[in-house]
Parts: sequence; structure tokens; C-alpha cells
Amino acid sequence: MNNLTSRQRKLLYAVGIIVLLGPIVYLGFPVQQTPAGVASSGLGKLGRLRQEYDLGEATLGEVDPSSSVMNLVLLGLRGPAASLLHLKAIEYQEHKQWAKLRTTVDSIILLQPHYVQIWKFQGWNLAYNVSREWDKVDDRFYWVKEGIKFLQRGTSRNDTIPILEHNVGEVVDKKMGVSDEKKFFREFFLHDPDDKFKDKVTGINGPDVEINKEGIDSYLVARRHFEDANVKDDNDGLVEVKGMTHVFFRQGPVKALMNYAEALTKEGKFFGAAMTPTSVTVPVEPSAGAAENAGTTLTASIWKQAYDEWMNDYGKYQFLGLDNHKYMLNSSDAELEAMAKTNGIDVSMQRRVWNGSVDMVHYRFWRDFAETEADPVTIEAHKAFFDAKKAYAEGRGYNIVLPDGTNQISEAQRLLEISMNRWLEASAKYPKFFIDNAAYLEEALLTTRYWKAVHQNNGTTEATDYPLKAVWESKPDMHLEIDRLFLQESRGRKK
Amino acid sequence: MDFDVAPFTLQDMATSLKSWLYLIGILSALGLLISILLSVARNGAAGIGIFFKGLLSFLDDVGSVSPRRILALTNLTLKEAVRRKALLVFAVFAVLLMFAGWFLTNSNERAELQVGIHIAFILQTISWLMLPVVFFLSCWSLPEDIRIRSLHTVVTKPARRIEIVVGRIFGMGIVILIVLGTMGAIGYLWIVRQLPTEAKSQLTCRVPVFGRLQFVNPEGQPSLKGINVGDVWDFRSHIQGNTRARGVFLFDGIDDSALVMGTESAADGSGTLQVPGLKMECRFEAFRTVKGNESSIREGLQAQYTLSNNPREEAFGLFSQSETLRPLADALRDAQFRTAANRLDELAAKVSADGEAAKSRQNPELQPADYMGLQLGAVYAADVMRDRKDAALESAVTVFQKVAEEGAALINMITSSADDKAEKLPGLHEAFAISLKDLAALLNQDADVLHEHLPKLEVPLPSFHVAEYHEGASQNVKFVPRVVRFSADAETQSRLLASLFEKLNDADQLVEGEGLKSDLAEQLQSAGKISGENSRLVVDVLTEQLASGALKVNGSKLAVADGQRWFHFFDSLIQKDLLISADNEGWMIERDLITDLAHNGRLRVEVSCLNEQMYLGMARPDLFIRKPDRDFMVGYGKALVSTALMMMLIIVLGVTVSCIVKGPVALFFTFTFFIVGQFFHGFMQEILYSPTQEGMGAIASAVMTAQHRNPQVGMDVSETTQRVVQGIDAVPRAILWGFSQIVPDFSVFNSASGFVENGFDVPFAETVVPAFLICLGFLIPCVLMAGALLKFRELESK
Repeated sequence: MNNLTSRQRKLLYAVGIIVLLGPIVYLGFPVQQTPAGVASSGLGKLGRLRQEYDLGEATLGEVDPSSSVMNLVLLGLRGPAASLLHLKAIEYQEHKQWAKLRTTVDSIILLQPHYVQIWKFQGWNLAYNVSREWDKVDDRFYWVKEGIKFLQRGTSRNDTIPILEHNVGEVVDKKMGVSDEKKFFREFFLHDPDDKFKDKVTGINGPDVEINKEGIDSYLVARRHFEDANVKDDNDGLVEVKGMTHVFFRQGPVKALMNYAEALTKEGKFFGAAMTPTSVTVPVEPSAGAAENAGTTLTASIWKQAYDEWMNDYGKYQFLGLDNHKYMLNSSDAELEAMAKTNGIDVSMQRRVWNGSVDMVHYRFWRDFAETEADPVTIEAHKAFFDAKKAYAEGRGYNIVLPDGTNQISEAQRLLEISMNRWLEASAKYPKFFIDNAAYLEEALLTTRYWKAVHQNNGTTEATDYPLKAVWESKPDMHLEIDRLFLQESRGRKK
Repeated sequence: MDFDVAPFTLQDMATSLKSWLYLIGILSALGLLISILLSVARNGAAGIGIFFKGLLSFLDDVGSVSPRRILALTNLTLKEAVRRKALLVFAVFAVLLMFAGWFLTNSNERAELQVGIHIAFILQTISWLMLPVVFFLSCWSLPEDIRIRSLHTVVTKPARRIEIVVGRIFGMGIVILIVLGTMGAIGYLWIVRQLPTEAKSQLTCRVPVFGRLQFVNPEGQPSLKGINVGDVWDFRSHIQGNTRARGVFLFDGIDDSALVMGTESAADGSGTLQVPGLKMECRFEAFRTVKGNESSIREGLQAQYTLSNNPREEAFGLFSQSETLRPLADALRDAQFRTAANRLDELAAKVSADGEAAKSRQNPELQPADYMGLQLGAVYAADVMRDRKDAALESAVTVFQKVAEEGAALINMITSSADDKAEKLPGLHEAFAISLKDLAALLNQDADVLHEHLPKLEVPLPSFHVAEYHEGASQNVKFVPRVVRFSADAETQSRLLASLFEKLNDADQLVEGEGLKSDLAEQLQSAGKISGENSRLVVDVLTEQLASGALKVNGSKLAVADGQRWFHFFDSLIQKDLLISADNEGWMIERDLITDLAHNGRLRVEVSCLNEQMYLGMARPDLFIRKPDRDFMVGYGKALVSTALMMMLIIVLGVTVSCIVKGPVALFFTFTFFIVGQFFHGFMQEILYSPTQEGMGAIASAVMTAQHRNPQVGMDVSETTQRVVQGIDAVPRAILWGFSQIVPDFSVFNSASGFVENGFDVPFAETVVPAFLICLGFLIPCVLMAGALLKFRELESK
């Protein structure tokens, strides 16, 4: 061994500690804040670097003290602890112990607050898997909200991660607008079935403010999250987004707007005020009388805005494509040439890069869709058909014999004929109207089917040259499906 | 978690005691043998004498244990524990409670989801905080006293070593009780304070009565399982909606003690009444194949309970286990006894033919399963009818019994490998066929008597929407008043009218002159509680029958002209559609839940799903009858007692081990014991007793791994090698068996918490008593062993 005495050894240790402590104290000093931000030099080098590379808890997002305490207490064992909790969570889910699943998920998050995949997976798990396990629709809605809230917490704990914010938008957009329960969910999003959201004065249930602070349509909330995600994407200094193809990621806000307009069309809400004063700026239809001018409807305004954003904001955004070559979805030939020069490739290669992405996101389809949907002719076709279906369901599909003995056609027939004429007009205006978009063809055939049903009910003979005759007769293979849709809709409405 | 634990009976206790004595005997013999050997090894031949001297001295110690000295030593241990800052655990507990809200509150906004989590947190925290204290106190205390020689001051006093051990255990036990009691009280207050107001109503202890579950398939046949809808967890079985599928729950022991007070709407609609009745709670699961209508989407699937007392189903249901016997079973269950007799004659003919076929060794018409179905069905039918203690059924019991006996003799011969099988079979077949023919003759002859004496009573209750996963929600709790009023089916209607007319006829209340009494309608209304419209209908119909000669007046009595009994007379009127209810509600009648429906204390509840293309999932504990709830404190207290018993057991183990080894070793040993008992006891049991693990020893597994073979095909080795491998594997298996017998199952102590967390009362006899017995089972031998170890060890050897 050595000849040092116990005291000498202790002194040596003390000196060693002091020597090692010096640099640690120097490097670990708190960051010096200046009016302009963080001082670029001086004490607190580690802190400065942490801030510079966004590695600090505070710069990653909201700090949860309980999470930090947990990690500290577990020393180096948080990995195994989190793994055990994951196994427990799976077991609880299989055994349908939802409360325990929820708290276990919360515990996992305390241990791994910056593990993005966990937020993504468990948020989706709660909103999709757990919610579908419940039977009653308000229970399902509760768990969808739990999933959304969980993802929202994830975004606040990981402020710099764009994909989480995008995921919040996606869950709101899809669960409220596309799921089987969309009819209820869209309503619940504005009027939560939980009585704790009941207004004491009006007695009307309001929205759950945690997910819908302003009480606006689900698509507009989704759009806001997509917009925030895009802002985070702009700020994170990366050209791509981890976890999603960038070209799909960036279309979130405009697609939410299109979905909103489409939902309004399906629900027959062509007029009225837009639901948000901030997110979507659309002209407000002043009165029902003026609404006859379909070009100024709410849906027309939204579609116009969506078209504009699709063409100019999304279309002109510079993405990285094949071999990291830049491209814009909305590019003229001149722009393609200019971009080819910037990328240092020939135009044909540039065109290939560009065309691949344009096809991938169905850029042209959505462009044309927004354009035609904003057209007053199409809107009038939709509106007349919607009103006709309503009239048919309400028994206004029967002809009336006037006091003078003449026969007045039913309101449903009148509206259906307006709709059929508008479909015809639109198809003349846009030659590939029924080819590019099967939904238009289906709606036009369904309009015709209703029109035929009205004739059948009244025992009248169809005109030999009714507006959509050529279209109807050219698609005999679709008649069966249209019949099914007709029966489904007409019976459902009557119920 | 399954809250329907198996009852712990006196018989179980006796079996456990026997195993315990057996194990203690083996361990004592082993211990004594080792001691003698050690004594001889150390002292030569004199060792035997020394051993016996020591043994006698130890037995003398045991015999002269003084409670006063134990009390003094307990007191000393208590003071030492306080001095060693064992109570500091309170500080940690307080800190955890202060910050628990960070983790628990608002983690679930729904109040009902929060109750269990809060209770689980407190019980687990108490348990996990006390464990280190108990481990350190019990394992470190004696070795430390020996090390610092403070034990010398005790042993030099006239105190026996065994008293020191007992004093230590009791002293530490008291410390633990104080700590546990205080933490429990604080925890209780914390739970009550922390829970949202709307969740506090769920802080209760439900006392469930569980039943047995069987199913009826969509074709209406009994079945052990329902439909599997593809769930990973096969805990529940599903029944198909809007079909004949049912989940059948059979509850035993339903009497007045199961009744609780509940609210029922007054018959005149004037408000509500407090009446006794049964509270039934369900937690069914819903499964949809389609979205369903708006009502079901908003409110959940619709289910319906039907309370039933159906002796025919019980008696003859087993016949339907065989496909061939189903027509017979259906006829018997529907009280079509003459049809059943025809079916039996056909079967008897087949049995005779099988006898002939047996002679010529040809294939029989009926399969062994059919014979077994007939025999078992007859046994069951005889038993059920005998249990009814009805003289009118005695002849049927005798004939069914005869069928059962002849059937048993035949089946025994069919399944035997006797040499004279071929000769004996035709005779046995013939005897069985004759017994079946006798049964058919009896059914033909006594058809009406059997129909009358095997009454089926079915009470459909109002349907309700199932609130899936809303444990204890009011939607899932149904109150059924003791006197149930329901719309009767044809059979019950016939029985009601028959019994009413028999009663009135006996009291000469039916006839007035040559006609019916003028106030008969009013009498029917008051005596039978039949509505005015239906009473008048009955009087009108009977007047017509009297006029047509179907009824006649005999003095002061009314009688059926052709001598039929009243039940069959009314049954025939109903079959002719003459008694279709004139009241829109139907034939509403009242029946008593306990006396009319729960025959011999057994209540049959059939659950059906009313929505088409939907499925309702259920397991045995998913429907239970709720006896009066107990206070939350009761269940919580029992859970704490279970925890205290677990701590006590650790103390016993820790103190025992620390009598012979040093603190760290004792700690490590006790901790290992605990970990194995807590987490791996079930695993050990699985290895030892699970059929899937049979023949799966370590060496066999290694061989199969090397050969890339699975347990289904086994090792690809010769038979001798196989035997050798199995022999080697038997050794660790035997060690594992021994270990599994010695290591206590610590999960028993935790099971009480699961009940409280889920809002159930802790079944004392099934959880706390076994926990106490385990503790006691270790306490006695451990104290003796520890006393001996401490007595014969050298205290100076630190």
C-alpha cells in the first residue's frame, strides 16, 4: 500500500474534491441573463449551451416538478421502472381496468416526459382503443377527450416538437369528424354531455374548455393545432418533421378548413356566421333573403379561402423531395426551371421530383375540389339537394291539386330539379367533373334517384329528357348501390 | 379481479391443519436428527446424552414460560423500537400524503374512477412504508443487541430465552400495530378529505352474494359457455341479443337476510314507498357488431332479468346434453309429457335394437354419450323431484331412479373390458329398454299430475340499459321488491285461476243457486288481486261454460263436467283464446320473491340482451345480489388487519432467523422469503401443478431446446434416457415442492386490499381468517425454533 497516514489520506481526498469542484462550479453557474437574452460569454457555460441547443427542461416545454422528483428518486432505474409500468398498462388495458390504465400512463409520463412516442402512442391509445371499448357514446367521447388532453399535455411538456401538436389536431379532426360516432361527437364537442359543463343560467351544456376553449367547431380547433404545429415546424430549425412526411404534415390547416366546409355542406349549413372570429376570416351572410346569391355563402367563402391557402400557402411552400431536392407543389414551368437551377439538376429531374409529390398528396384533386366547391353552381346543387331531401322526409314530396284543378309539383320535386340542373351546369362548366370526383357522380345519381322516387310516389310519368338522364343511363352498374343509399337515407331520415 | 372467492370452510381448515401437522412433524424430526448428529460429532458418544439433557432443559423452558416476564420483555422491545426511531416512518408517510395529490388528483376527472385509486394508494403506501421498518427491526434487533452485549443484561436475569423471543415478537408487533393504526386513521381521513364530493357516496363496502353461471345458447339449449367475441381476455362469455340465448345465474341461500329496503312506486301512483326487496347489481360488458339505434348508442345496450322458478328446467335440462335426446328434453321441459313418452318409446326401441346389435357385434344406433345423457338425466331428474318432497311425484322419482340404475349398469358394462361383455350386454340393454318403457308409461299416465306439480314460474322484470364499466352506477343496480307484480304467461295464469277457484270452491263462494255468485267478479278482484276487467271476463267466460254444460253445479260446489282438474280446465280455456286479457297491462299478478321464486333458497336469474346483433358479456361475478352495504370503515379495517398480519409474519420470520445469524444475513434471508412468497408463490404452484408444465424439468427443457423441439412432441431420446432425465429433474422439483410448502403465500395478505379498492366488503372468513392461520402456523414453530436457537447459541460469538 502506501505510507500515508489516515489524516494525510483524508487531506488528499479533500484537495481532490476541491480541485474537481472548481470546474464544476465554474461551468455549472447559472446563466447570466441580459436584456437581450442570454449572455454569450461569462459564467454558466453549461447552462448557456443547454439553452443554445434546447436541452434544458425549461426549453423543452413546461416543467413538471413531480416528474423531476420521480426521476431523481429513482436514480438510474427509471428505464426499468418505466418498462414495468408499460407492462402494467398493457395488462390493465387487457383486463379493462381503465382507471388504473390512466394512472399508470400518467406515471409513465412522469418518468419519461420527453419520450415523444409514448405521448403519441398513449394519446392515440386512449382516444381510439380505449374509447371504442366503452359502449355508450358519451363514455366514448370522454375517452376521446382523455386522449386529446393527454396529447395536449404532451405538447406543453414538449413545446418544440411539431408532430405532437399536429397529432392533437389530427385526433380532433378525425375522431370528431370521421369516426362512426361523428354525429354525436361533433355535437358533444360544442355541448359536452357531462353535466359539469352545464351553464347555471341557461341550463345549456357548454364545451369542455380544456379542448375547446372558445366553443368553436371541431375542425376549426383542429386547424388551430395544425397551424401551431406548422409554426413549431418553422421554428425548430429542421427541414423535415420527425414522424411524418413533411408534405403531408404541412397541409394540416388547409385540409382542416376543407373538412370544415365539407362538413357544413353535408349538414346543410350553407349560411350563417363562421364559428370563429380569429382562425377563419369569412364574410358573414347577413340574412336568409340575401342568401339566394350562393356565391356569398359561408361555405363558398371557406372554400375560396381554402383554395387560396392550398394554392399560395401550401402550394408555394418549399419542400425537400427526392435526394433532398427542393420543390414547390404549385409551380409554373418557369418556377420549375428556376428551382432546377437552385438544386443544380436538369428540369426533367426537377419535374420528376415535383410530380411525384404532387401525385402523392393528390394536389390537383384537392385544388379542383376546392375550386368547384367554391363555385355558386355547385353550392346551389348541394343546397337544393339537401333541401329536397328534407322536404321529401317531411312529406313535402307529394304533388298538390290546386283549387282550379291544376296539378302543382311537390316542393321536393322542384328542388330536386333545381339540383339536377345545377349538377348538369357544373358538369358542363368543368368537363371532368364526374370523372375526377366520384362523390359528385354519386350525389348527382342520388339526386336523380330521389327525383324518380318522387315521381313513383305521385304516380306521375318522368319527363323523357330529364336533366341528368344521360348520366343516369351511362352508369347502370351504380344503380344498385344508389338504391341502397337511397333506402338507407330515406328510411333513416324518416326515423 | 375476481371478487367471488372460494369459501374457506371448516373442512378446509381441518385439511390445512393436517398438512401443517404433517409438515411440522417432518421438520421437527429432521431438526432433532441433525441436532443429535451435530452433538455426536462434537462430543462423541456423550453427545447423545448432552442432546437429551439440552432437549429436556428446553422443554422445561417452554413449560415454565411466564406471561409477566414476557410482558416486561415486550415493554423493553417497545422502548427500544422507539429509541431506534422506528416511528420516523410517520414523517415519510406525512410527506407522501402531502404530495400524493400531485399524482392522484385530477388524473381522472370522473369521480367514480378516482375512488379505487385513492384507496389503493393509501393501502399500498402503508404497506410499502412499513415493510422496511419491519425488516430492519425484526432482523437487526437481536443481532445488534448481541453485538453490543446489551442482551447480556437480559439473559443474566431469570428470563428464559424463549421468553426473549416471544417478548421481541410481541413488542415489535405492538409497535407495528401502533404505526399501522395511526397511519390507517390518517389514511382514512385523507381518503375522505381528498375525494371529490360526488365520489364520496361510493366509499362503501358492498356485500355481494355471488351465484353460479351457466348459459343457454341461441337455440335455447343449456351450455357451459357463451360466445367468444374475440376478446384477448376470456374472462367473460357473451350472449347474443334478441335470441333465446341467456346467461343463467343461480343464487343459493336467498332468504329474508338478503333483503334490503328500497324504493318502489306506489301502485296508485301517489308517490314512492319503502319496501323490502333484493338489490341486484351487474357489471356486464357490451359488444356490438353494428352501431345500433340512437337510443342504444346514447344509453347503452338493453338487458332484461327474468326471475324464474322452473323445476322442469332443473330436472330435465341435463337430457339436452346429447343431440339425440334433445327432442325428449324439449318435450319434458315444455311439460309435454305425452310427447316425451313417445320419444322414450322410440329410444327404448333403439336401446333394444342396440342389444341385438351387440350380440352380432354390429354398430349401435345410440352412442355412449346418449346412454350417459339418459342415465345422468334420469339421476338428476329423480334428485330434483325428490328434493321437492311432493307425494304426487314419488312414483315418478322411483321410475326415474330405476332408469338411472339400469342405465348405470349398462354403461359400466359398455365401458368395461370384461371378457363376457358381449354375452351380458343384450340383457342389460333389454333391462334398460324396459325401464325406459316403464318411464314412458308413467309419463303417459301421470302427465297431468306432473304438469300440475312441476310448475314453471317466470317473472320478467322491466328492461334496463347497461352502463358498461360504470361499477356501482345506479343504472346497473336494480331493486326488485319482495312482492313482484308482473304480467303472467299462460301457465301461471292457469295456475293462478285454478288455485283461486279451488280456494273459493272450498269456501262455497262460487255458486249461488244454479249459477255463479253475483259478486264473484269482486271476490276474484279482492282475493286474487286480478284487475276489474279480467275478473269480469273470467265470470263471463265461466257463465258461458256453465250454460254450455262444460261446468256443472253440485250442491254448493262448482265442478268441471268431465272431471278435469281446475288447472287443466283453465289451461284449455286459455289454449282456446277465451281468456285473453281484457286489461291492457295483461294478466298482472303478484308473487313473493322468497317464497314463490327462491325455492329452497335458490333463485334463478336469467339475463337476456334485447338488441339484435349485439352481445352482452358476463362472467360469474358480474351479477350479484347486494346484501345491506357495510360502512367503508369495516372493509378498510379488515384490509389493515390483513396488512398487520403480514407484518407480524415478517417479524416472526425475521426474529427467528436473527436468533442464529447476523443482521445483514437475517435481513437478506427474510427479504428473499418475502419476495418469493409475494411474487413467485403462484409461479411455483404453476410449475408444480399446472398440466402444461408436466415433465418440463430443467434438463428436459435443455434437451428439447438443443433439439429444437417443443413440449408437445417431447424429447427425441430413448426411453431409458427419458427416464434418467426425468429422474434427475425430479430432484429440483422435489426441492421446489418442499420450498413451496415452507414459503408462505404473501399475496393472501394483499387480497383484502383488492376488495376495498373495488368497493366490496372483505369476506372475513375467506381472507382474514386464512391470513391469521398462516401467521399462527408460522408463529408456533418459529417461536420454538427461535427459542432453541437462542438457547444453544454462544452469545459471545458475535
